[in-house]
Order: sequence, then structure tokens, then C-alpha cells
Amino acid sequence: MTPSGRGPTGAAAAQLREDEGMTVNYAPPHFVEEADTRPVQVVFEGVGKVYRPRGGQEVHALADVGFDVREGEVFGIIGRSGAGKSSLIRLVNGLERPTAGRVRVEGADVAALGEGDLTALRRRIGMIFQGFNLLASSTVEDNVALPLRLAGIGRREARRRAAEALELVGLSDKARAYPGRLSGGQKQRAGIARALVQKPKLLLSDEATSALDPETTRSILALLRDINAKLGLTIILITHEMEVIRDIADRVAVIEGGRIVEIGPIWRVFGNPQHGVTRSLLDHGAPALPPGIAAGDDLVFSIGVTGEDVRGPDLFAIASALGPGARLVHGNVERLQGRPSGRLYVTLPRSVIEATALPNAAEAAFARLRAVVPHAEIVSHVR
Amino acid sequence: MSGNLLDLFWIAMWETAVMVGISGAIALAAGLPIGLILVATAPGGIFPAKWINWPLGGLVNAIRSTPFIILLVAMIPLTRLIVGTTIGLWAAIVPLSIAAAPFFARLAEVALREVHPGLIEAARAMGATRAQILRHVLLPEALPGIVGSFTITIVSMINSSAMAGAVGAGGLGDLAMRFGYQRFDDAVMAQVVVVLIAVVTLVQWSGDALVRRLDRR
Repeated sequence: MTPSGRGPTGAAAAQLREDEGMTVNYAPPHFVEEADTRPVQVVFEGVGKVYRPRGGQEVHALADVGFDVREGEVFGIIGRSGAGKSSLIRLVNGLERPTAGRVRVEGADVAALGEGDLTALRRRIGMIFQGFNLLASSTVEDNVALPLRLAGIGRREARRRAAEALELVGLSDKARAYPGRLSGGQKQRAGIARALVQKPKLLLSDEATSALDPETTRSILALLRDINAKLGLTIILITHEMEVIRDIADRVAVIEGGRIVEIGPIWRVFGNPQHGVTRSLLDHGAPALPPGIAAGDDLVFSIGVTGEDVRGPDLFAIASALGPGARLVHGNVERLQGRPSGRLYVTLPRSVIEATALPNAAEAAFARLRAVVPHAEIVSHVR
Repeated sequence: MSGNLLDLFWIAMWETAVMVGISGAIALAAGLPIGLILVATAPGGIFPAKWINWPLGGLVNAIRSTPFIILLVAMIPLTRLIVGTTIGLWAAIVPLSIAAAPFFARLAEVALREVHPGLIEAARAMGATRAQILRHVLLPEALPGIVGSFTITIVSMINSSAMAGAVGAGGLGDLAMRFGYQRFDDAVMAQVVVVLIAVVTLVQWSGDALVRRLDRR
């Protein structure tokens, strides 16, 4: 809440102190942070990747990447195109090798595995793709059965397990169809069934919803969420869409220029983004201040609702800090991982400021506001 | 048309069918593996090996750039070695196969290369070995393209087989040359050309029909 040493004063502060004494019973439903005791499944240790195209300039795709992913977690990696996401996710199943550092999956250094062990590891990791990557020449059922057939399982058994996987993704009625006859969403369901047919512990999702329309995207994300909950499957996904992260991830890493610039539970990264890239990725989802209000004569304060306090912004404290005339004019608050997240815009009429006859009345009001809500900013220009 | 000439027609058609059929089968059996090797060993392929790709690609280009009539003559020592004779039907089958295999290999290579790289990546991600990628991904996905390539190869071989008369192999082309060109019998020549058009149309049509059946995109 409020940083120590800058305690609020007056009635609002009294109220605040009372609140702090109360027991907070709002445990967020899937709040994953330092306290997470689930076993670590994937570890990146100082990972770098440099491409050396023949006769071309070296490309530093990744530099000094370090984080870990725990079992059962949905871990999102977001960045603009060319940020290094694709390289990053391909290191996990050894489709690419790091040029520095190590990637460990279930304790084993992926790049150090021999061909046999790598094949065995890949059979424990499912992967889905933006372009679905289904064989056009095989039926859905045979596509889903392919990983099993490659592992030497007989046709009959492979078909049986493929049918189970198709049931799980709700595509049983299309088992005999060819992928060319399916919609994008159905193709991705087939891709997910294929990725799950070997009952992996880990699923890698490479922009799996980027080729789909928003509605289909939501249904695919709901399916992934469901599978994550039902099977305890760990999911690492890369995307350039914040909505995808918001809908499904527990934690997010923001990647830019091959480096992780921000990482944490999504309520914190969304509620209080620290890096410019994160802010720009978030921007088109945030409520902008309507021009009429921005251009008006009133003082406008913007209050970030960042989720540190699971109860949400204290309206009484805000109103007390600004005094009579304060109005809530715009904003939204939603729940992310059980925590409030959003932005509120509060105005104070300039006439009220001027009526105080104090030279720094606006600044004083802002200082009082900052004391009760640390993520407040003054939007309009103080004349 | 006299009964005698009609017999000649049937014999010529049979000779063409045997020549193209056997050489075509050999071209298929040799060309497809060559095409696969060219794709697999190319830089960025599933088994990159410049030391295989370059010489093999060079050999394929060398044979393809030699005019068939010259290949037919140049191959005589090899033909004698393989079939024990340098004239007749079998003598034509050797050079015809040798000319057709690289032709088909290049076309098959193009068809195989058009398989989307994402499919190969997906197969690797699911733990496929390189041999499995060839068998379960590249071949089935490229099959319609390969069938189309083989159709073109057969048509081109029917064309080349006309020159097989030079080594006494007979066939439709040879009939047209002897009657039409050497004896100025325009009627026979025209009839042969009509038959050839019909045969080529039939081959192309069958090939296209098969491709349509196989192509599930």
C-alpha cells in the first residue's frame, strides 16, 4: 500500500490505518510468485543465441535470458515481432541450440542430449504452431496419431488414443476429415490434439492463436486453460498479443531486443508496467482519457489501480485527499488473477482550486492524493 | 490403311509402350531417390551434406543438358556393357532411362522442396527421426506433385523415344520418320502424329486425374 514514511493524514489516513489492521481474506485464485513451491520444470540459465549468416552480420537473437517455469504453470512470453520469442521457445525442445548458457528441462541440459535422449524428451513435450502444421495428405485422425506411429505404436492403438485426444479437444466428429476441410479453429484443435496425444508434461505454444479471429482465439485459449487445469500441463506460450497473456497466463516475461525486460505475475506487469515496451504493448487495451475531459478546464488526476492491494482503490481516501468537488469521470477496473487492475480518472474543478487562494493548491491536492494512492499522476497542465 | 501398315502401327505402338514403360519405371526408381537426396542434402535440409549435393546436382545437370540424340550415341559403350547389344529395343531403354531419371529427379526435387518447412519442424518437435521425416512427411505431402512430375516425365520420354529409331528400337516416332520423312508419305506421318497426340493426351489426363484424387489441400 502506501510507502512508509509518507503516511497520509486526516480522516482518510485514520481509515487507512484501520484497514491495514484488518485481516485480508482475499487470497487470489492463481497467484504465482516467489512463494510458488511447485517443482521447477524448465530453467533458462544465462541463455544467448547468436545467428551467424554466411557473409552477413551477426544477429544477436537472445542475450542473457534467465528465468524458470514451474510445473503446472502457464508462462507467457510476449514481445514484438523480431524480439527473439521464436528462438526462445525453440530452445526448450532443442529445435534450436543456444550459443551461450543452458536450457534445462526436467533437470537435463537440452543441448547436451544425444539424439536418442532428445527424441525421448521431444515426445514428452507437445508443440502447437501459428500455421497449425498439419499434414494435408492425412486425415485429422491420422495427423493426431502420427506422433504415436513415429514412436512405434501400432495403428489400432494409435487410432484409439488419437480418438481420445480428439474427444478432449471436442473434434471427434472431424476425425475422418482432411485438414483442408477444417476451419482455422478446428485445425488448431487438431494441432492441440496431436500435441497432447503422447500425454506430455509440457506444451509449447508458438503464436498458436495469431492466425485466428478474436472469437476463435478465445475458444482456443479457454481450451488451453481447461487442459492446463485438467491435466496439470505446463504451458509455455509466445505471443505478440497482450489479450492472450491476459486471458491465460499466470506469469509473463516481456522480451525486447533478445532480452527479458520485465517479468512477473500478470496482475503486476499489467497493473504497473515498468518498461516502455510493456506499456506500448498494453496501450491499445487501456482506456484512454476522452478528449472532452482532457481538454476541459478541470484538473485531471489519473490513478493507476495496480493490484498490490487486493481490495481495490479506496474511494474514501481518494475523495478525502482531493476534497469537495472531486468526481470520478472515466476509467475501468477489472480483476486479473483475483486482483484489481485498471485506471481511474478523477477531476477537480479549477474553481475549487482557485477558491482556496493558496499558490500551490493544485500541487498540494496532488501530494495528498499521492500519499493515499501511490500510482497517481496529474494529467492536465497546472496553470 | 492396308493391313500390313496397320500391323506396323500396332508393332510400333507396342515398341513405344515397352520402351517408355520400362525406362519410365527405371526413371521412377532411380529419380525419386535422387530427388530425395538432393532435397535432404541441400543446405538447410534435414541432412545437409554439400559433398553429396554438389556432385550429384552437377551430374544431374550434365545429363540434362546433353541433347538426347547425342546421349543415345555417347552411351553406346555403356549400353553394350549393360544389355550386351547396341541395337534394338533394349539398346534404347538404357539411354532413355539415363536421360529420364535426372529429369524426373529435378522435378521431384521441386515438388519435395515445396513441402512447407513448418511440417518438418512439427515432425522434429514430435520426435521424428530424419528417416521418418522423409517417409511420413516429405513423401506423402509431396506425392501429388511427384505424380504430376512423373506424368511430365513420361510425356517427355514418349517424345524422346522417337529418336530411338537411330538405334533400331522402332516405335511410333521411328515409323513416322521412315514413312513420312524418308518416303514422303505424309498420310502415315499425319496418322502417327494423331496417335501420338492421343497417347500423350491420355497420359496427361490420367496423371491429372490421379493428382486430383491424391491432393487433399
